[in-house]
Amino acid sequence: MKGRPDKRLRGFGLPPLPDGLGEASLLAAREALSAAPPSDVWTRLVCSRTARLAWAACVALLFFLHLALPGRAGQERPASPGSPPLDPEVGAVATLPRIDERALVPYSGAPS
Amino acid sequence: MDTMVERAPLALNVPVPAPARPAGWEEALRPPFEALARGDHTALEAIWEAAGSRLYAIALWRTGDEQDARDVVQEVFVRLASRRQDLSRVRTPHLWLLTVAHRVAVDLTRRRSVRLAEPLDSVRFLAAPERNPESRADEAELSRALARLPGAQREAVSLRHIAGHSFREIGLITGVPTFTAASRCRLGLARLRRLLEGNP
Repeated sequence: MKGRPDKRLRGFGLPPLPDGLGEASLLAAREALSAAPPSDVWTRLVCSRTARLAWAACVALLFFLHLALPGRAGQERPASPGSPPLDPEVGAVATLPRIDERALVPYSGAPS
Repeated sequence: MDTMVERAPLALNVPVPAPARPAGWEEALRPPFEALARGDHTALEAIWEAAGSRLYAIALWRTGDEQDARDVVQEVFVRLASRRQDLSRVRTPHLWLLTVAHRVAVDLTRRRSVRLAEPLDSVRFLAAPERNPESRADEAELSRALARLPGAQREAVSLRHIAGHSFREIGLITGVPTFTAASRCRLGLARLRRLLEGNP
């Protein structure tokens, strides 16, 4: 009987199950069920969908509050209570110079 | 999951009908999976009834050895029991089971590669229809030829043409892209044809 192998395979079924395989497999599974230790609190917590949802909700709430609460983001940090007041001269030196665009003279020379 | 018609990856967009297969075992697995996840240990029998023969088949196709296939099936049921708390999240129980069986079979084949150097001619990789005596001889010839295929090709060809899975499902089960699954199937069929014609 010749022909394409895919056509020849058509109509054949799964290989027959060996005797006793079902009983042996179920027995092994039941032994695994009885031997499996009960999960502890931390495992249940990590595997819990509710706990993970609660954690995600807390993170989302914190992020929302961080964006929503006004007046905190742009404020300078207050000086620590123990530090001495800043001397005005030192403050002027410590302040970075900035370029005032109005003071710049526009260039009027001919292009080279 | 559309398994009725698939596009052949290399064959000019010609629709290739997937082989027919008895539907329903996929859905039959869902209730016992959920029951086992809830702690109902009697669901194991229902899972065996629905999937036992298919688990043994994929294990045999992959390992090429009956004893190894028995070990694979038992290991699958051990894992099924030990992971019962995760079963409620499994969306496609039949593919999950076949995937676990495939992985266990691959691990076992790697460990016992020496034993599989010579395939056994006595292994029955398929079963002939009961009422057709002519197909008995064909079964023996096909089994001998299948025994000489590499495990990955034998698995792909058998999953496709005996179990009736789509290339996409074969890819999901064996952990390869759909194109690779189809390629393995095509190469396996070509080699099977040469073996059946007496040109190994």
